[in-house]
Amino acid sequence: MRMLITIVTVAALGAVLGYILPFWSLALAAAIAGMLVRPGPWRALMGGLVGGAVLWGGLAAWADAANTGILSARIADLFGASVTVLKLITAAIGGVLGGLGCVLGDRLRGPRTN
Amino acid sequence: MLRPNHITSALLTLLLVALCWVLGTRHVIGNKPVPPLGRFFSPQEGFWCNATALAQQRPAELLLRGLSAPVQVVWDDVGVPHLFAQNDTDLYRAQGYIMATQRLWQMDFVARAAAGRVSEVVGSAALDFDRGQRRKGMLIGAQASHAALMADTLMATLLNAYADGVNQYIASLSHADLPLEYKLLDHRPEPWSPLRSALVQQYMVENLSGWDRDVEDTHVRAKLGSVLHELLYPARPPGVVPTVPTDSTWNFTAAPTRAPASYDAVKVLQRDAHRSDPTNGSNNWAVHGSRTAVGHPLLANDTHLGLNFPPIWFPVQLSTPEHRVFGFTIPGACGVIIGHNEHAAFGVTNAPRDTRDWYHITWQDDRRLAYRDGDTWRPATIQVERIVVRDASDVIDSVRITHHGPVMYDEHFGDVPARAQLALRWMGHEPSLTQKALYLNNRVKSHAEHVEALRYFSAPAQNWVFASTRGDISMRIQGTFPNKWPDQGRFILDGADPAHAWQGFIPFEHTATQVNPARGFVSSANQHSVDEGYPYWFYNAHLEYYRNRTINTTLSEERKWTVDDVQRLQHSGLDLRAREALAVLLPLVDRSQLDADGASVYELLQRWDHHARHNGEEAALFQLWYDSLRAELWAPLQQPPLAFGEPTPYNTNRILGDSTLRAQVEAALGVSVRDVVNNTFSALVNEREERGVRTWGQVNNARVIHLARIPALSREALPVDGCGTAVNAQRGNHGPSQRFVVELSDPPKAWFQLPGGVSGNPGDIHYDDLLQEWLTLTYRPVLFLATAEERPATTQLTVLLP
Repeated sequence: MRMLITIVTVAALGAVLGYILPFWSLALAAAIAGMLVRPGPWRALMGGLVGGAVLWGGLAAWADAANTGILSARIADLFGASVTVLKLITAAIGGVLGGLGCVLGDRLRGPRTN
Repeated sequence: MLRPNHITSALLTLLLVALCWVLGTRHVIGNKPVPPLGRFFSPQEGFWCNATALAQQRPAELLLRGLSAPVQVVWDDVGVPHLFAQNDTDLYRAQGYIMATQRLWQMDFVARAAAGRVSEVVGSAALDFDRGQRRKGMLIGAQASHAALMADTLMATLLNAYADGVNQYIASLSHADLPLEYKLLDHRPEPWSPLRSALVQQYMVENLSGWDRDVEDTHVRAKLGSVLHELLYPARPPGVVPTVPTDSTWNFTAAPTRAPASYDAVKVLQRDAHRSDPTNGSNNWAVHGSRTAVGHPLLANDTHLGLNFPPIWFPVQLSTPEHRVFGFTIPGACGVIIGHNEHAAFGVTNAPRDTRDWYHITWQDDRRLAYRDGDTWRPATIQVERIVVRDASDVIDSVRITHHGPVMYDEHFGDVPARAQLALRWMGHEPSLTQKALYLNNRVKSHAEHVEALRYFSAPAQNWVFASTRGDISMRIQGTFPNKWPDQGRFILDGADPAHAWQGFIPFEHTATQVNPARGFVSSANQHSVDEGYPYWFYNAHLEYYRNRTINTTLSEERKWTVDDVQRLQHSGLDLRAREALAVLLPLVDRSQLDADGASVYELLQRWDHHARHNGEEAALFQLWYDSLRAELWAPLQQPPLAFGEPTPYNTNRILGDSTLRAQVEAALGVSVRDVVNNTFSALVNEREERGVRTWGQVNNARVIHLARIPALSREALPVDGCGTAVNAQRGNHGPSQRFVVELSDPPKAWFQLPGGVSGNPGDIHYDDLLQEWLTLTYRPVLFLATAEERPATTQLTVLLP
């Protein structure tokens, strides 16, 4: 359950901050989520990773679907990769920022007392 | 006390900050720039934000400060904006804003390139380009035009409004909203200004008048003598009718010039660095109503320029209660350039005319502070150019400015052992009110008003075709031209001799014009403008010899012309160059020596109807053969340190087809034409056996490439007919950059094609949705709305509110 809360909080905070601040705000959002939820290091890493990856991957997939892949095909060509790889890279960067941010937040707050 | 988990937290923080820095910074890996990956991939500010939804919902309302009343913008099915404003200032403020929404990166980049500031974005790869732009005085010209425009109250108001429109759009952009190219190249848009509009115009002036071969011709004449020079590189070989032929006599005499007693061209060796493409050209014509099926004039225009994403042209309708015009503009310019309004239609082709001369500068001493002008030493101005280079330190270049112009080539710039000091005198340095001409021309109701509008049109010189609903057709070769004595500026001029300086300009009233001629049509295709009957000396190093004859021959056919006929002529792939070359070359092939493959190649070429089809082999065979034949035949002219350049195909065919001229060339150059023909023909046959059959499409590789040369944003190997010397002048990355046909009924009806789309965004459906019509030669009817209210249901409306 705490894992799910972590994922949702990272994704939700990341979405809000991402519309105001640059891309690194995802790490900040995940850190805040980690401090609020305090899921513990392992769940923080996994929850942050999944939350970040779902947010970025999901938004990318959403934009791509509405665009019917016109742009992603061109960008994929530019990077010599497939569109799927493009989405995976997007999700991976989101995941890493979310995961590390959340672990940091969790640590800064210290272990739960109960 | 510092506990282990504090250290881990600190390390983790450090790691995260470092990661964000790496992902947020542009890196150069193995000479290749990589955009900041975190920013670029972020779906909230990176490239995914440029993926416009297919079912694009345009905003119903937008704020545009400074408007005096709302401006309605109707977006049609292919994204062409139709603007309805209450007055001119509002109209151009809105045009600037709307243009920026569609083409911001393009206009920003072109203005930057014109000013020689590309290195700031791409690094040292563009350094030579930037230095060249500055040394040829691009900014000098733009600043002169800018000053003239700002001194004109009306133009100053309109251009400032346009710039304000662009800038309001820029100010509204978050990183997420930036055009894709800014994210890829990691830079920011610069504020727009009327000077940058002048820079865009300067870019076009350079594009269309930035080629000459004065240095080569000087060298040829010095080495081979004037007889051989005239034979190989004639100023005007016979056989072509000019754009404006002398029908009777001209009702004026030429303003006098003072030629020097003798004209020994200065002998220098020097290679030019960057020149524009001399084949930048176009077709246009108008057929008189007496020769059309509908009884109204028909007008056609297609412009041959580099084929790029985003396209150089932008289709738009601009309307106020006083006028409405539809046409093609260049991002950065007010109004339209080619188009039609309710009363008339107009279009342009480049008018080839030598408006660019080189002056050899004699310095007083090595310090190069003063130079000879007649009997005196005249001080030069030194202009220091600081070029900002990305990923490297700034480069300082100093340019000497003389009264002839900037010294482009000296010991610091140029490419040859024996260096010269050459100053450039160019119409592009003169102040130009061309923007005002466009403004007035958009509103013309008659031929007389058209001529008055063109009073301000100085550069780049164009063949203006015109037709009106009243039934007039005309061709006017408009620009400001230096009044030269014969051969002035065909070779390097002596900057120390005052008689070599430009002595004034041909008066506006002496402009070559043809109105409602007896032949029932006017046409131009970049051939020479006038014949010997014209009272002024005419010269240009590059002239067109084939398209113009195909057009004139076809237009001379007895028939009632229809829109369909005019469109078909724009698509003609007939290659007269091939027809005339093969008539001379095939008889020289020794058929007794041909094997079966050789015989089949021979037969293919012999049976060919000389239409360049992308899926046929003939045009490919001809082009490959002809290229290698000309290279081998003219190899003796390509000796270092300075290549003379190949004689034109037209002159090559003329010489090969005339036994006397041929013998003369064989003796002078020590070549055997028959041997060259047979050697290159068997090489062609052998190559075909080795590489297999290649179609013209494969050899020509018709393509539309992105302005930043990004292959993934380009389209290659397009199935298109035509070739550089056909009316359908499709050659590689160069060709018809728009096609436009107008029937001058009341109101006029028009059709167009554009090789690309309205939007500059590679993530937008309108980035390349018009390309298919261009490929299949299908014309789109122009939506010419009287009011925004009568818009079709499939269009969308945005209202710009004050």
